[in-house]
Amino acid sequence: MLSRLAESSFWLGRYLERAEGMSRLLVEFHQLLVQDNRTHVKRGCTLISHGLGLEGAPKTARELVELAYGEPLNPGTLLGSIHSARSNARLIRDILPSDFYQSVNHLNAITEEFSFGAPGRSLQTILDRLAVTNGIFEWLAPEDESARFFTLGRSLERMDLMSRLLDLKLENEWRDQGPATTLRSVGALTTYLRERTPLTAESVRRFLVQSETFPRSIVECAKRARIEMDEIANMTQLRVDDIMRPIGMLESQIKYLNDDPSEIERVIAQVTGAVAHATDGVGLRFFRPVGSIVWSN
Amino acid sequence: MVQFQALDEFLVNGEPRDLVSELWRELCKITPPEWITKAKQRDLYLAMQGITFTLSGVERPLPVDLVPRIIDVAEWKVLEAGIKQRIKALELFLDDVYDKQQLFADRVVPKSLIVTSEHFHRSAYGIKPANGVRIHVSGIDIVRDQAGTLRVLEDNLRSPSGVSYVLENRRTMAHVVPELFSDYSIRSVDEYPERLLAALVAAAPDKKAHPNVVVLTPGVHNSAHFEHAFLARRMGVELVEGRDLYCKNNLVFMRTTKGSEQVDVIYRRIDDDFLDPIHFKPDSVLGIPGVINAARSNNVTIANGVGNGVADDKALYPYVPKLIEYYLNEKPIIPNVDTYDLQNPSDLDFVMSNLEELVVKPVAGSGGYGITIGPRASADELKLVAAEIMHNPRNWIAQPLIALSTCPTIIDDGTIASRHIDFRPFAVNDGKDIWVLPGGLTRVALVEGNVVVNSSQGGGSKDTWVLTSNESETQSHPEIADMADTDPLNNEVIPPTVGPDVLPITRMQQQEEQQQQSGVSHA
Repeated sequence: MLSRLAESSFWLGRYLERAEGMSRLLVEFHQLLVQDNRTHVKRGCTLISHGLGLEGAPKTARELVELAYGEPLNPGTLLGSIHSARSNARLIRDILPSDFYQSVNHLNAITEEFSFGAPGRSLQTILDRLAVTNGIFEWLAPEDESARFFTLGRSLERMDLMSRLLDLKLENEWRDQGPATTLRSVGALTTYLRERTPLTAESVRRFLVQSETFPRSIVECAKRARIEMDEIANMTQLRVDDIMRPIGMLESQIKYLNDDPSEIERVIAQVTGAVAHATDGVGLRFFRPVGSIVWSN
Repeated sequence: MVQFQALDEFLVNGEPRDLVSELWRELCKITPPEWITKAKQRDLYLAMQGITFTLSGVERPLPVDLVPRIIDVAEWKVLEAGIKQRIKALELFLDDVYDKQQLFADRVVPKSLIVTSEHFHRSAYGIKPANGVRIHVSGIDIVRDQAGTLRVLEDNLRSPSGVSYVLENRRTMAHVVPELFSDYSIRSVDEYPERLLAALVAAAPDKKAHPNVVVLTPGVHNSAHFEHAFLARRMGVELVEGRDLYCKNNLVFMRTTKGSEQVDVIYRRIDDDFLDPIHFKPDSVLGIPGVINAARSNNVTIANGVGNGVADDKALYPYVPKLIEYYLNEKPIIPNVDTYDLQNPSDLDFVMSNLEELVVKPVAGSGGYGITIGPRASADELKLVAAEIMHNPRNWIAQPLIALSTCPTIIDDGTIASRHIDFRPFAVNDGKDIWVLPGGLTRVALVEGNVVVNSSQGGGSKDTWVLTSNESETQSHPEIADMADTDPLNNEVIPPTVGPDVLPITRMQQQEEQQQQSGVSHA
């Protein structure tokens, strides 16, 4: 397929996942901060906005949501990731099922009704629409290269978001609610509790890194990324082992982790780097970027 | 007829109390049409989340009023201590009743009163719970009278329900009216499921490291099924019906796809009468034949204990202050509502001649059913209830009408009006400590002037805010002070990776131009 289309598929997957991840995080962080006592709320807001990679100094739950909701031209924010997803979808709408493109458009349209007064409702509407969008993709998109790049992008973004969430260490600021909020903000609370592990900070971190039953755990996302990459390699007859090396190494490290809590932290610290390496590698090998052409006299 | 002026939790002569002044200011900023919109958002949220209770076979959301109720630190301390004291005494009472029965010898409570209680079960006699706890979960109903005194209205020691609404109300409020929270520092209610699970695990026989805990529900048609599912989900344990369990050799098992799995603790939300057809109602299809014998053999713990109803029997209620003194040698911290014991001839005479001013309650009733409120009853109704009392005084108690305190509440047209409220805090006993959930279910009678607040009588609920004290703040966050050196806020901000600009301005402009030019050339 065209490199340009592959690239848009990849980033479409990443941005949709970012929008979903951010929405979930914001629903829970807003709940947490609204109910927090006044002395810590400012500190909590700053901590969270830093962790999400946002420049700003929000002082209240509302200001944090405003900052993270952001603006169309900043793809690191919720609104920006939805806009960027739509821009990429627009470039490849000829190869996408038409229902899917409609759904992405719909998603973009509902952002105009966002209410900061009670953001939970608006965020839930966005999540609902994202679920429809992803569902249409799963059911209707052909299992071609485009779908592989889309899923690869999604898996890498999930790993990145999860490591950002774990870096926040919510349990340090909110000892009582931190572990449950961390799990809730990736939709993992019920799955975790069913495993009948006590709700402690360390076992929650271990679960989100290591669980083979929770599809968003770092190890499951790494596995999914590797499988997709292997498929792409088969389809394109290009080698990918160098691109995937850090992620593959991460996957095996997680598989053979010992009980030492510092091991988990070491793994978490490597995720961002491994994701960046894979993103750069995929870009260079498959998307064939061209430098801008400058005519000289 | 004596008329009382009910005390309002928020307002004195139309002015807000200090405790609620900031909240009152926020509430007044919201106009009636805005309240109506917010109420719709709330109903939609509750419906989408499936937060419901079943009334007369219809599943409906438990109406949560958007005005919270606030309890300050000092009052909460009293409530907490009073509830702990009461549970401690009632635990000792149950232990005594189902074992040595020393209290009868000491003539604290007439034996006839206990053995005639329909909740006194001989089949529970001699069952020794593993960690000594029978009241794993309790809900003590508290009201504030016209003088401002908090009083215990009744004890619920069997399967008190409503705690799921406490947790969900808080989330609903933060979702719909986050602006109300801004000036208050409120204690979290979120840890209830963990506390409950810890208490159930501690109650397992043989001190197993990983006991199998289940929640036993009558099924989806039960009014509190949402709560049963909620608790099972939030504890991460199985929600079972009677048909999922069976007993063999005095052990309890559940049927699973992997074969039979032994069950160690049953947090049952069905009544004693339905629990075991061998001992109780022989036609019960909800229970597990043999479970009482399994409990007696100490192979399974049933929580709450079988036969607890004898301690929350309304006929025992007047004796609870005496039990506190007898077992703990302490004065009750929270007083009772004055109650006439109709088995006492002088009380009976007084009640019969003053029925029109008193509230008469059936001792076996719950959910607000069967209550006659003297001042509101017709002559015929009073005559009928008088005849029933004379027929069997043991079945009834009488109390003066308490003007339950009121609290501002949003009514259908979006305005704020006063409605009567009560309060049900929940306590969990793990055998070492009794933990009182900092919050609870404030129930509100949504009909003007109504004093029966039960959800089965069309009542609603309110989120209840227990304020944080400075003391508990530092206790729960000791590490904050220590973190100054390694402050995470000093970390560098790493922005998320972004893809290439798919439509840079220059390309976009040129693409637009191309289109325009081609349009022109074809024209």
